[in-house]
Amino acid sequence: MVVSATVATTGRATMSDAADVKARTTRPALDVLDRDQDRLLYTGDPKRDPPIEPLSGGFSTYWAALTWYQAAGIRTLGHVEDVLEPSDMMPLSSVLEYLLNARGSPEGRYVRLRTVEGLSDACDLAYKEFRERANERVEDEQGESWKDVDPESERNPLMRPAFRRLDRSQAGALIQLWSGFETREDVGRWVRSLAAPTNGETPEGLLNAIVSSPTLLDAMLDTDSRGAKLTRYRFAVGTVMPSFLAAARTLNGGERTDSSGETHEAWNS
Amino acid sequence: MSKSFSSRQTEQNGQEKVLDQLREDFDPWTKSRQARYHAGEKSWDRLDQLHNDGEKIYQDFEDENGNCLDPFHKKLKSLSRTARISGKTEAHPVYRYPSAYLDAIIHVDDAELWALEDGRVDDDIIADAPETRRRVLEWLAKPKNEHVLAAMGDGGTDIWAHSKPGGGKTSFANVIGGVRMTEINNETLLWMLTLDELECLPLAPYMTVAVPRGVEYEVHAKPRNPTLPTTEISLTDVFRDTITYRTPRDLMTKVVPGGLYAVLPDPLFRGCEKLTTATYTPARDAEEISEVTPLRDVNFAFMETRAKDDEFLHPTTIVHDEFSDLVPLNPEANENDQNRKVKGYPVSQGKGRKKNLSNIQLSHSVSRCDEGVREKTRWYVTMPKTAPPASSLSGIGNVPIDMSYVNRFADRTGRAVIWRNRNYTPIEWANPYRNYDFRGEISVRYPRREEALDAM
Repeated sequence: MVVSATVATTGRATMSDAADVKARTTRPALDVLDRDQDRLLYTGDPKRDPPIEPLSGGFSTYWAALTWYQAAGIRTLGHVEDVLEPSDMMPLSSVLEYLLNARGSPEGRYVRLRTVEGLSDACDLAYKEFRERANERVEDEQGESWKDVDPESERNPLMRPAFRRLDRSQAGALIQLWSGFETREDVGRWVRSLAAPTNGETPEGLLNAIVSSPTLLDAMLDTDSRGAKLTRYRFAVGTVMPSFLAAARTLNGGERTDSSGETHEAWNS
Repeated sequence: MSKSFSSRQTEQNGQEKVLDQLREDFDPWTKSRQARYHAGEKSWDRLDQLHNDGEKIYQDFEDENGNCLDPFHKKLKSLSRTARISGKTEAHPVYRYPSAYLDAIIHVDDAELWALEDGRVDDDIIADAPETRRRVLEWLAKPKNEHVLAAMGDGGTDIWAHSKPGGGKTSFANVIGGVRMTEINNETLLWMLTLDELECLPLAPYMTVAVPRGVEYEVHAKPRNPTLPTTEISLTDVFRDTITYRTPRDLMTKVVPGGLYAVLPDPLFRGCEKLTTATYTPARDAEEISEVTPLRDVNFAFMETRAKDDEFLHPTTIVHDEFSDLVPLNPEANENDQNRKVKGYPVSQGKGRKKNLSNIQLSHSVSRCDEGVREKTRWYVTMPKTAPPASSLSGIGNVPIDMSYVNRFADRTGRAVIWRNRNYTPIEWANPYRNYDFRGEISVRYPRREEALDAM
């Protein structure tokens, strides 16, 4: 109960509020998770590569929608799927068209608002799930730890460098897919490279499925036309993203960012 | 015929790839006060409302966790917080013995020290400083940190980093000299380039190259990847912008507070003889190869003009790479007056220090350098796997650390022990090379000088 109360108040926290919240939890990784989810929903994250556009403002392009979905997978430990299934992210689906902000209609704003509200629950779930594993802060008798962790500057999702690796490798795979491939061999190598970003959860026979479908293979090898790009988008959402979300669900957060600050090691300047 | 066309095509594609990579890696930062100043008069309105480069650079570098570097004032606060929580005896030596490190990189002048000692943090001299500096000064003024303030000397500092090749000297100069000193002191950095390798690449997006006027030069990027060709590039493919200078003194009238400059040496040595009263012979005027003055000798003239001519008095750090070649042990009284130049170095070092001139000197060896320079230099940085100099070495004074201390605390590249007289502390810094993907060398050639040398 206490936890969800914290989330309820921090879910809509502004940047300056985040600093206040920091003082209240004793688990810095949770603060970081909280801030990351806040970025997904409300403020966006221009520093991430590729940048995250906030859901509440709507997405400017299909690419922004795709990268947001991938980032959300990591930052909700895969729970984004409970609210937005891959089919919802397909072009012409009843949801995605409203998530793109091109039209700026009142219906769009309402759908986005409701989706953000729905996602708040998914974020709660990730928060609760992660809470047990985030019990790492060592405190002294005055309630102060050696080093305050600043959720603003922490770049590792959930303070886990491993999560950032996964996040980067997934984003990297999507960037490659988005720009298309020169040769059939490049497609094969790209599929091979999916083992890491999916934590080995690549769908069986994926390469076969691509090369045996002339339309899909053509779209993979056509780096110019908009139609091919849209086909690749559908492929990314329908085939690649479920594996990425499955990978996000397997994350259990091993080693976290080092903030222990040994006092007699070399001073990190 | 068609084969040569296709191989030409392949090479052209490769060159484009190299250029694209460089442009992506070294995307210049053009929104700072220094960048707008050098962009020309049309960009000068509202210069005072812009941030300095030093307030931005540290944010673009990452620590080992992939987070952007914390501002230095935060690092300091965390030091004093630990001291408060665990007791001062348990605090890090950086805090307990501020003259070992903090004194070397926080530069303050007399007037600032006076204001800080009186606790006048709202004095203009402190309140008007760039934010990253002001916060450091405010930290110094806190009563609990009075022992740090008491250890601060006024004027410039000199730091000599030594190690075998690959020991971390260059990354030290990049991060401590280029990132932290500009952040803390709004320092002006002059990186004296050697032609065969531009060691300051991590800072290039914020750097202005100072080019000697009227001198022909070529710049090449040589990727380590053997499938990519050596590509001719322009300086601005890597650096932010360029300025030209006639003489070392002329350059001092063109640099600005807080600017970072990569200085290409003038192969014609204009103005150098007058400054140092020593001989400089360009390759075109020499009859024998031994008469030709090495390009690095321009460093003496830059030291001298910064110490003597008072054209520019803002805190300035000069980085001298390959320092043992510049000031060797037993310099000869040869055609190039090496002896006179080397013996003049510590003199200009001493004069310059009073005018806020600092030096970062990088060399393999300390013992094979001139003793006068050793005597004048106050801080030494010993890198991993490097033996500290023996106390018996003339000019070195007391050496408070030994090899086992270095092995224990400077146990990998990116760590070192900094020491001065009795005080020492291990320090660590971020790897600056993660900021770009280009792997290879960028080198500069002076074709006219090379032709003259070949003709001898």
